[in-house]
Amino acid sequence: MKIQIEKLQLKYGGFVAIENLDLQIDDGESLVLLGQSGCGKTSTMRCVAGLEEPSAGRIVIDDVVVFDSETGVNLPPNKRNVGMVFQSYAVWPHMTVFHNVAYSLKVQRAAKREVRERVMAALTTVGLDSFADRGASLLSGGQMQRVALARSLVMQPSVLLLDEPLSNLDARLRDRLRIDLREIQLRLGLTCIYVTHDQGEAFALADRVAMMQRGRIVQIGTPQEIYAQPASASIADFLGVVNVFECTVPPSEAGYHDAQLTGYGMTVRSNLGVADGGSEMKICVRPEDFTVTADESADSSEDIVPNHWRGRIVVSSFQGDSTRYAVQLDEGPEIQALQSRKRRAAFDIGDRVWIGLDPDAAQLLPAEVAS
Amino acid sequence: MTSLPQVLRGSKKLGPVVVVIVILAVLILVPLALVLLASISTSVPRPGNISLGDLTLGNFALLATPEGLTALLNSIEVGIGSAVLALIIGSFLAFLCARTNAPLRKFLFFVGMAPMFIPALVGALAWSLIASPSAGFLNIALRDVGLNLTINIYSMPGLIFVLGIFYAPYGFLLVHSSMAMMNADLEEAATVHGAPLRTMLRTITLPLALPALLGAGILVFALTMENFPVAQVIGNPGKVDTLPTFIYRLMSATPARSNEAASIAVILTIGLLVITAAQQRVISRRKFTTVTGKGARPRQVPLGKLRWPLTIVALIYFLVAVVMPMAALLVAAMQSTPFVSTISQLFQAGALSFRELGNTIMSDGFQLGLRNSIVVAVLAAAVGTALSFIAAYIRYRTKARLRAVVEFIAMTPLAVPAIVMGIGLLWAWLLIPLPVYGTIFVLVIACVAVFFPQGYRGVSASILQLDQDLEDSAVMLGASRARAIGTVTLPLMRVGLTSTFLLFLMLSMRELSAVLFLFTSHTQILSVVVFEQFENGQSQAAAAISVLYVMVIAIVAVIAQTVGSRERSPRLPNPMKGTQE
Repeated sequence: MKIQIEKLQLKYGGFVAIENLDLQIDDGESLVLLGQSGCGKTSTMRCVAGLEEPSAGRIVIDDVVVFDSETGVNLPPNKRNVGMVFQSYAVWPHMTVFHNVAYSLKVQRAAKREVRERVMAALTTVGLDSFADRGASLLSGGQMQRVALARSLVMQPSVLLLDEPLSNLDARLRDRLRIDLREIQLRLGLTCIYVTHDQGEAFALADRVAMMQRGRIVQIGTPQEIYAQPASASIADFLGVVNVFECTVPPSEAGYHDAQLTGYGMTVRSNLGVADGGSEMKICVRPEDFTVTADESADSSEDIVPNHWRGRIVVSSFQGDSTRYAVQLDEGPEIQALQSRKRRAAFDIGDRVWIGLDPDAAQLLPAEVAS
Repeated sequence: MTSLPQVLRGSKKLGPVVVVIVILAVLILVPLALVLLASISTSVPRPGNISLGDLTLGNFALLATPEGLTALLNSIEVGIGSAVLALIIGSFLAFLCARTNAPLRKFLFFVGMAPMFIPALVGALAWSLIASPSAGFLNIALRDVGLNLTINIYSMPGLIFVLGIFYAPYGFLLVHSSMAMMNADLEEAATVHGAPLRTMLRTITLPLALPALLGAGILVFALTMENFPVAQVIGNPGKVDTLPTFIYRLMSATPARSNEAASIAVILTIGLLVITAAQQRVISRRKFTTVTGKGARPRQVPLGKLRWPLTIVALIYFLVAVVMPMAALLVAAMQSTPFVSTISQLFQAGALSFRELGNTIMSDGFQLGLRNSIVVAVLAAAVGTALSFIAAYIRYRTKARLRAVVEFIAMTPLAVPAIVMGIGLLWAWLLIPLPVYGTIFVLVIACVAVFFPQGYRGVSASILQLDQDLEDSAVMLGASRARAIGTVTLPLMRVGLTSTFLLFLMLSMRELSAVLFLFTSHTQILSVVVFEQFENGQSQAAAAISVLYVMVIAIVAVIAQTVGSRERSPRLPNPMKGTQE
């Protein structure tokens, strides 16, 4: 079902948790609110759920106004038909799996047979049909997560909210449940809002990702768009772009810019356009976009090829399929480079190396999204 | 800008909170306000007689008289003396129990706790039987062996002694939990870094336990300073007046000097307020000094040759605080002649019989007292627990603007002596036009009001342990808030609520001071019956009822223990732990 959030605002005393937020989620869409803790993403979700009362704004779910500060409408959570999977799962330990899942149907006074059928169907969907009579306190984390999901699915919610649904699981299980969740969401055509601080999780689960910072949505788009084109250096930083350096960008008529690194006598060429952020610009490079090659003596190729610098390996850390290097550039800052295992021979600490960078991979971004 | 709908919504939400605040205020604040009013007035608050016309500070002049000053200084002396004694006994037992290889450690834990089941009133009564200068068993025995030595319990040292031994369990419990939960790593770190055992105890263990020691000391000081029954039973015959007994004498004088009693009550309350504030500060600081219950068991201190001697010292405490008092009560209850001149007389045939005990059990006085005690305790426990839950829920689960007020009122009785609360309740329920005064319900109200902080704290701790998501998820699934509380929150808090119920029950069974001015001949509870008999010089009857009273409390304690251990906490989910399916 469609969800519409207009001019949403939430204040705790003097602190503004959500500021003037507009967001529309289409029927059957999976939207992920991504951001650091304290950015307002969970607050936004709780406003949709009705667990938090916004100070201003309007929320419409499936053409029903559930909150409107103008007219004073504020439907309680139990009247909104919104499903929610809590970060802690909130599976009730004093009930069996069956009774946990059957709860909403009992509240609706559904017939016994119908309850049984629908609960078992929901449990089958999440692959827990054989656990119906198990006490809920005897489940593992992954199983509890599935019970919490089935419990929300069984009420056929207009929208399903999931608060960091995978953050309490270990890495392997997380990868598997991530795919399971996406598969269930697509199969049932559910409208979902996820909240997460994990970019990998966000990209895997989302049709669209809404990046949040300081109570505002700073960028919204498909996972591919956000990954390829972060709107600011601080978003890039959050998405794992570790090489972020202040720079100045002289005006240029050519198809590229030669950014001047602040504090160093070093320029970085970038073919990616400048969104004319004006004042504060930063150059952002993903570690995997640097190439590390052996220093074949001090030849004279220096400064002839752009984005080609000499440096020394400071730290070398083997990570299985790749190796991560910290390289101190002779005339620049220390950078982080990630080299795939297949690509090159390993280097040791102290080795002299050449660092290369494709101008297509160097992004010039404003420090923050203009408000 | 606040729109009209917002205002309306606000008031709808505030409604229930206001109702709870009004209930708590009537229960707790109104009595206190009346005591305060009486203290600066020349008349007692009576229906149709509340006026602000005759205000005066003259009542407080009583404190400057030798009488008042002596009572004040005595109270402080009693508080300090018994706090020090209780702390020495309590921490000695706690250390022996928690941190050494002393023999009989399990039994020593029981020794540390056991005097709690003897109401201080009964303990005082027993010690007056043991060591009253003229007829005390101990003094008779001393005379029998020809020693010209009289132990006079009716004295300041006697008062300190009795209060000290019966309040030692408070010190014991606080210090024991601090020592038992001490993180072994901290001590092992000292050992690893070269500290011998003695140095470790001095530089690590003691400083870590210090906040608990200090907190326990201040708590015992506060409890003993406001204690009425012991001061009355032990202090009064020896002309050692404390503030609570002074208040009682003023209240029971003819004509009653109520306004002056109120002024002394205000002074006592202010004193307790200061002490309680200090104690809360110490306790709150303790949070980051004491350590979690995790990790290995703390190291045991080998006592070597002192193992048995130290255990015997602990057993002597048991003798003094439990065995001798109970034996004295039993003998006094079974004596066939009230006058005993030598101990050997007690061993003659027919000197002891169960007749008096049997008579007491069958007597109307005891049966009425027992029935009333049970009714009062059960009702107070039920009402107190329910009200504690509501108050704690408002404080920790809602965003009501007045939730801080709820907590403030709930915790207020902590700083109010029970006897002061009793006076306030007397006046309050004479004024309030509900037919409560003179019934058993006013006693229930008194117990709920006096013990509310303890109940509120217990429920709060339990509510804080419960993830709010558990209840919210029921609401998200369509349940109303009330239904979510009923089907999820209350069942999950069963353990915490049960133990709060039992706490109210036990405390109400023992209470005397709070109900001292509230009972009638039909609503006497056991503690009142014992006190009345003693005051009327019927020490044999008082002893007999005391024996039965302690037995009733022991039975309630055993039931509480059994129910408590059966109500095991359901395993709460721990998502951090579950990893494999």
